Amino acid sequence: MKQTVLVVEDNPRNLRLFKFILEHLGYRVLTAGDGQDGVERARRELPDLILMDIQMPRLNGEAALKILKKDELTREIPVIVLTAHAMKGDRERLLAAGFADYISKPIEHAEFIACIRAALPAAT
Amino acid sequence: MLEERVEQRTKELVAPRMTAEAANHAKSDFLANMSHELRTPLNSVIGFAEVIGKGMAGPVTSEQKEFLGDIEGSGRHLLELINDILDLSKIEAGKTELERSRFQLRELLEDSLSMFREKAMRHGIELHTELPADLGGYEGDKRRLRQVLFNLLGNALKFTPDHGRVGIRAVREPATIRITVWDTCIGIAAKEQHKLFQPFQQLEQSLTKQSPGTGLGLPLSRKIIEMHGGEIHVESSSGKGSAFTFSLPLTHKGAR
Repeated sequence: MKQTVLVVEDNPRNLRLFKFILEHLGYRVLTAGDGQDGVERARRELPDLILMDIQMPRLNGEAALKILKKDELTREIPVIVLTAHAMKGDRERLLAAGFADYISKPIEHAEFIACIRAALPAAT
Repeated sequence: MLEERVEQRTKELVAPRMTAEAANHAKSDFLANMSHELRTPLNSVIGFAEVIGKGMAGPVTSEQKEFLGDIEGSGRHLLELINDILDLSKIEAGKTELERSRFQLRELLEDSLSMFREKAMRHGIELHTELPADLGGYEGDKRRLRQVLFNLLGNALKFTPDHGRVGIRAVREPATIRITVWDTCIGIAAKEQHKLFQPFQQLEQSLTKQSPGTGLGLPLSRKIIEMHGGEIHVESSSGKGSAFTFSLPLTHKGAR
């Protein structure tokens, strides 16, 4: 069965790019346009992996991560942060906040794929 | 009375500084936001050019592939510009501190040069080193100094015609280490030389055979060397190549 990745991203063009690449890799892709939708979708569908933007309306990525990590249902799902916050210190700060990995935008195609695969070891 | 006047005068002196600090703070917030806002659309520009170019969205002709490569290349160039502008602005705002550690300069110089070996070979450019064995240790920001060497060596390789020479030389004096990156480019006229360290003052771009740089490499390098308490200057004349020399004082204790 296909593994499921939930992409939480408010920029529709970037969302479409990530969806395209992930589907090309053979994953089932779910999307959400902000942190609030992302949390609800994650609870409902229990994806294998979540890719999470930071700066989003309604609920930002860090706040969404906190909710997911408090909830027994979603606590174990790895959440990779996918952000254009790429100043010095951002990576360390976000990894310390509990994200499983950090990818900066613009993405490096090969690095992006490697990160996804590393977070989904059961992928075949 | 006197006390009042002192207090008044102090306020007058302190107020402009506070305003300057607030302005610097606002500036760096603005830059952080700008970085984020520019990177976000660049993600889909570069990303889609890449996936289409890889044929992931269907077959592409070789000409289309080349054009897509141009979109991707320009996107990456913009990204480099953003990174350099931010770097320079942060240093100018006094927001950057050196991360000092003790390391062997000789290793750093050799490592940096070896990164350009392949490019030099492609253009038939000879690489020279004159590094004394007893160059010794130095305490400074290794990552930043590597950035300086990359800028200088990158420029040297870029502006030197095929089959020319590029070299790196280091001299240890009692209180200073001097490092020179030289090349056999066509030279930089005296009246142009002062422009080199000003942002966005690239000299005639027609001289370069490759993609232009950001125009910020040398201004950034100068700031980094100054933070180490040193100086950087260029010597060049038409037809005689150019030599960029920077000094690293051995006793400097981190001003700024």
